[in-house]
Amino acid sequence: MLGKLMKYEWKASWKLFIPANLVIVCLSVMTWIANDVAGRSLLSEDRLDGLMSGIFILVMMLSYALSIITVFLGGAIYLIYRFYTSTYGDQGYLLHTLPVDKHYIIVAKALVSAFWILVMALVIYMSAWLVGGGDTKDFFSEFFGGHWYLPIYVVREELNVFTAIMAIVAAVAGIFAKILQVSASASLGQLSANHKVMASLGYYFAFHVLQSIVQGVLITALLLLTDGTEEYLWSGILGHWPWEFALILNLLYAAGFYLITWHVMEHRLNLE
Amino acid sequence: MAPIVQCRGLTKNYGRKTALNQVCLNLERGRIIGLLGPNGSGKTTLIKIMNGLLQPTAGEILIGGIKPGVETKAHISYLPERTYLQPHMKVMEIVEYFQDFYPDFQAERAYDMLARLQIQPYERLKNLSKGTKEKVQLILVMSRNADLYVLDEPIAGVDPAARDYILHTIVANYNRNATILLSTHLIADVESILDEVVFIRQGSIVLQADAEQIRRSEGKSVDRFFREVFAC
Repeated sequence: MLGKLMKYEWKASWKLFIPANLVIVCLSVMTWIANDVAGRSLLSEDRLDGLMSGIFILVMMLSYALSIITVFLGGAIYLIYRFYTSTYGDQGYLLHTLPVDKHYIIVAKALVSAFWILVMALVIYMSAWLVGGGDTKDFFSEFFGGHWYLPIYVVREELNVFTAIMAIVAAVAGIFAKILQVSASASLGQLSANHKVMASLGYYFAFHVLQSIVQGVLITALLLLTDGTEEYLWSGILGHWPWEFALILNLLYAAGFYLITWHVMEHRLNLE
Repeated sequence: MAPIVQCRGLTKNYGRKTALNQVCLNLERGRIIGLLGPNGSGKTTLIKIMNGLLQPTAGEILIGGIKPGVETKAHISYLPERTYLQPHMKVMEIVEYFQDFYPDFQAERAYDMLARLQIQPYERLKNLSKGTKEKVQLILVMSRNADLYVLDEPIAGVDPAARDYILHTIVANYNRNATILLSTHLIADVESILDEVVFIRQGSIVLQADAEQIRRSEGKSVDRFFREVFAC
């Protein structure tokens, strides 16, 4: 049943996400070509020509960044909309009368959503590499030759493939935690008699505040326990957690939100 | 064998409003039963609880002797009062969907009924009229070999010709050992097919009786009797 549920989640989402990713690829190539052409004029002896090229590159980069953010946010909003309508909207009448375990419903939705977010994140990561990477002729050999983890190294300040991979694992766990946070918020929101969407948003922000408090307490505890420096404190606040903490926290969040979603679907469903 | 539906002290409150009040009801197998009541009497709430879409505030409901869950859903074929299919899907994709999830679904029966109504399998649901969408849903629901068919207002909002077709589809396609629970307030249209009626008013069952017995003992049609019972 899990496979069948995933098949229909996939069918409902690929028509949006394949074109969205193609848009990112096209934008990246267009930005790179435009920057490459303009970049040559930047070194021109003609000052006006150089200034115009500089402005053009700036505008292109801003447009590129805004477009990528829009596409990514659009994809994320679609996933939230799809979850809500298919689970607690009219389509929920079919979903919740299927003879399938609620665990399968949650897992199928979370896996397909996480897949698309990861694909988009990977495409955006490669896109940024292409646009900001300089010598694009060696893009594929550089990227797949092992340099893909360099940006993570910059953040983590440790040149270690294992650390980079574990940081990615922690980030993936974070994606699942975020998806399940949305599903838990929507599930609790639908218990409200009126204004279910507003209630869902309220729960989402309440969870966000709760997570911030937990992280604040943990940072303080770490600081006290490790006799940490102010620098360490700030790195924690900025989200540059050691991957171990990020992974454990994200797994705990994901488990908590999963249980909330399951409990509401199994025992408190309220399709009025 | 246990009745297909058993309700004991079933109560559902929406805040301060009581939608179902201490409902006690047994529905036997192999019957076509009309759940009849005016708008807002609690018909849909009772049906949703049977299907696990709402949770009772108090009391208990059993389907074939067990509480609503994965197992009971495999035996109930439910037609809600709204369109619950994804509008971007083609009719044939929806048929495949039902075939994937319901082991008792008969795709051939569904395609046969679709052909008789000249509904093209490759049409997308969003391109169909409201009445045609309702027919597609009914075809899907009646193409299962379920033990209990729960049809919530299946003839509301469709033209008289379509009503005839829908009622014909219900009678011609249901599993003879199964029970059909048909909720409506359009009694005259369904009266001819009913074996039994349940009258519900303000969340309480006011009558459960054999349709023929009402006609004999009261000397009037169920529709006429309903109008007297529920006169404003």
